[in-house]
Amino acid sequence: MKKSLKANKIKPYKIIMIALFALFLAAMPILTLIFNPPEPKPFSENENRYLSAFPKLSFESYKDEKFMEGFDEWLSDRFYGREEWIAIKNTADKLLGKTENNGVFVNNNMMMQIWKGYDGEIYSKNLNAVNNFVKNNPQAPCYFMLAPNAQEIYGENVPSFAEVDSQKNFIDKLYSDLNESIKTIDIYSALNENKDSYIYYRTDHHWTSYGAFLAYRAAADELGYTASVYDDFNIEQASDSFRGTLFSKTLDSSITPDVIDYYTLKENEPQVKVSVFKDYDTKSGRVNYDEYDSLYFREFLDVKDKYSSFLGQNSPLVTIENPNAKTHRSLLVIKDSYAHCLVPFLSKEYQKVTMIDLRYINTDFRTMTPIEDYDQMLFVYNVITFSEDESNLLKLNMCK
Amino acid sequence: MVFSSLTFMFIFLPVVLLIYYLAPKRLKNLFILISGLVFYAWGEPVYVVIMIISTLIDYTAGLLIDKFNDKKAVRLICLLVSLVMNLGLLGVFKYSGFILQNIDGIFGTSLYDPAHALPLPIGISFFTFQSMSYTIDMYLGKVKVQKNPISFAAFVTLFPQIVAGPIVRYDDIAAELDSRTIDTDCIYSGIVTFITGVGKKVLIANNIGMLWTAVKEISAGELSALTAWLGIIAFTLQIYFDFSGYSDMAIGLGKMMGFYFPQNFNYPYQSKNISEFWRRWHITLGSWFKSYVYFPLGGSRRGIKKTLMNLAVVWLLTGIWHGASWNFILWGVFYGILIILEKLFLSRLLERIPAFFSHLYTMLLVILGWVLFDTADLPTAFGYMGAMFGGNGVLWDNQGMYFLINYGIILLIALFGCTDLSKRFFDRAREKTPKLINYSTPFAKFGVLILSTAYLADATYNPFLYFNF
Repeated sequence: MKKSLKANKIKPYKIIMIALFALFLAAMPILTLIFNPPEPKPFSENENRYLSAFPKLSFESYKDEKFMEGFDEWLSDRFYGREEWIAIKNTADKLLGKTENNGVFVNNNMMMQIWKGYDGEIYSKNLNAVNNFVKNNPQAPCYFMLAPNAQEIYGENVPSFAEVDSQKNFIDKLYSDLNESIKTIDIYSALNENKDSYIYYRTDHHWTSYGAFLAYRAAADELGYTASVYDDFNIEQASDSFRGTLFSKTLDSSITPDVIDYYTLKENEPQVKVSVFKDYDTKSGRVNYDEYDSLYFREFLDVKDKYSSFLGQNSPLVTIENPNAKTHRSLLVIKDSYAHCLVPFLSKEYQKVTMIDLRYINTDFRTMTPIEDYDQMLFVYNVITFSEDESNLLKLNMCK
Repeated sequence: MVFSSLTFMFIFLPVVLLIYYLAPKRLKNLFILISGLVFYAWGEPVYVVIMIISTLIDYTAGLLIDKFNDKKAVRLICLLVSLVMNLGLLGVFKYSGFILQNIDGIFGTSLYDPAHALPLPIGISFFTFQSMSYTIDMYLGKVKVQKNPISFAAFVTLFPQIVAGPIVRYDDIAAELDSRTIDTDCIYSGIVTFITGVGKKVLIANNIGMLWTAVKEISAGELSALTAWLGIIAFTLQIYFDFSGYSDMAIGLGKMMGFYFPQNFNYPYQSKNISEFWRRWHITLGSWFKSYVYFPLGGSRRGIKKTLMNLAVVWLLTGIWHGASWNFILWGVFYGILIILEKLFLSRLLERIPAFFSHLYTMLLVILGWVLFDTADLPTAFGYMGAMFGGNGVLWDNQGMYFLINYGIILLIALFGCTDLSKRFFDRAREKTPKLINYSTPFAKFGVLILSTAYLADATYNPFLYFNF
């Protein structure tokens, strides 16, 4: 009697709970399996990495737990709706008042990569590397341009009470610690005076073409050229849907996508030849290149990584030749990716500009392009790379 | 495998539950054994052998104790074999490194070799205590023998409680091992408890833990009082939500499978004295020590001197159980002293003061206890306590304010959540509007599950920024 009474009393809300739970637990693995890309390692544009492949099961991989770790990673990488899940998480974090998201401040329709301060040890190592390099390579005069990041120019967007050091002070410190023979180029003032203009991307950690244009103007006196003025340029809006690296970090689509502008001279825009490093034969010392006839690699406008349309992705060595340049001078740029936006302007002023990215070189770069070939050397770094990258500048002093 | 992972929630659990519900009754225990071994081997592919050996020995010991019912010596030998084996495993894997280090420290020898240090098998402190409870109870004649090796192995390897408790004694689920009913009521209530646990662990403990991690990185001498308090309050809440969340998940999973595990937490931070705190915190551990150490030693029935002695032993062991390191031992001694003091006179005093002060007394000591528990060494612990009371001369600073802005809301949610206020509110609301509450529960819990999934999915999301730098 009692039992039958109980059996009749199955409560609908309990069925709802059980059904929701069961459906969800069944749906997620099934959807994950169905929508899993067939490639063993699909590429994630937002994360800029290959997602992990399904691990191989063997006695070894079982014993050292590589299989289990690999499985956990595989599932997490391929989990159905992964980026949507992360967007939900980031929204929840925002509602909880979190002011940082994956190393990014999001405030006032702008994302800024966070820089809290520098590590004295890394700083001295990098500083000494540059100073020693310049001392040992006096063949060409050396210039240094250290670009502040958006966080410094838009300090008002840094959340209250966040303890971030002043990049202006950092730049001043580096400029005074550099060997006297290195001529420093102040671009902070020019950027700061124009902070009401669109000088940094909202969703990417780089400066915009206009920001780089300001730096090109600010460097004119030191580097010894007569810079073109704003009105000399035609400005083409190449994209208005650029979502950069900081978007990838936060997946916050509430921030307006960015605009990418290409600057070309209205008159006498030079016909350039761009050679991008392809491979290097260490025995013969010969470098093979891919060649392009434009500063702007438009194929990147169709993919997520649109900033790479400025002279391509980071590559060990890129040379821009401009036979019609106003002078016969040549410039060696040792750089991070901030230079990619700037070098299109510089290339108007030099017959040859070569960009070296030490992060992608593991040999003495002088074997690929001797310093004797250049009239000037210019370092272009932004504060975050210079202060945080522990290894690239040390490669300056590699010997063959 | 941990419960709060995508692999567990979306691969292991759905597959296991599906097979478990479909399996005929007589195969259910065998399937529990298989799934438990897979679950354990996922985290301990090699040491799963230890668990199997321990299970076999305790099973055999139980059989022999039963068989030689009238031979005292045999029974005692069986018990001793089981105890020596279980405590031996704990001793070797958990304490040998610590003991060698201390011998080295005293005699200047170099017995301890970090390169060959034994790793701590997951959950060893839990499953050894669980299966020891069976042989001890067999010896004391408190439980009936389990003749079916599969049923006994299912008890040890029952995956919900394998790695982090609650410490389920054989006695707790002996009846259910042989026959259990699984109906909508227990599945429903299991799901609700499980999701509550997931939310506690993933949404609250993990988030608030980041604050404690950040504060711990700052050297104790540079902490403002605000930061120090925020940090230790975060840890106080983290450890409660982490541990009780894990227990809820285990209890919920158990219910889904037809097992009723004992409760492990009962709003411990609402206690009015330390003795009460320990009756509400990790209840199954406290009751294990009570049943198998305190009472056998005579409990409180042999005069005050002996009682205090027994308390001291229990609390020393409680400290040691938490980990092989001096700070856990000190932490145990700290509680032992407090409980002895309460037994002597303090609790009578506490009863007479307003409730607010007895709560304050309890929480202050519990929080100071957590400093001992989770700092590297004594100087750091005292430095940290100093910072809490303004020892660094800075009451608050930008750093503290920044933590407050970033973690204020989650701290408030957690503070609210560790009291029974919401339970009381919903219990009352359920009486008044049962339909509304009953029908909104599934959707609210589902929301928690969705949100927790979002936080779990974030774990490996790691854009590589340097591509374009």
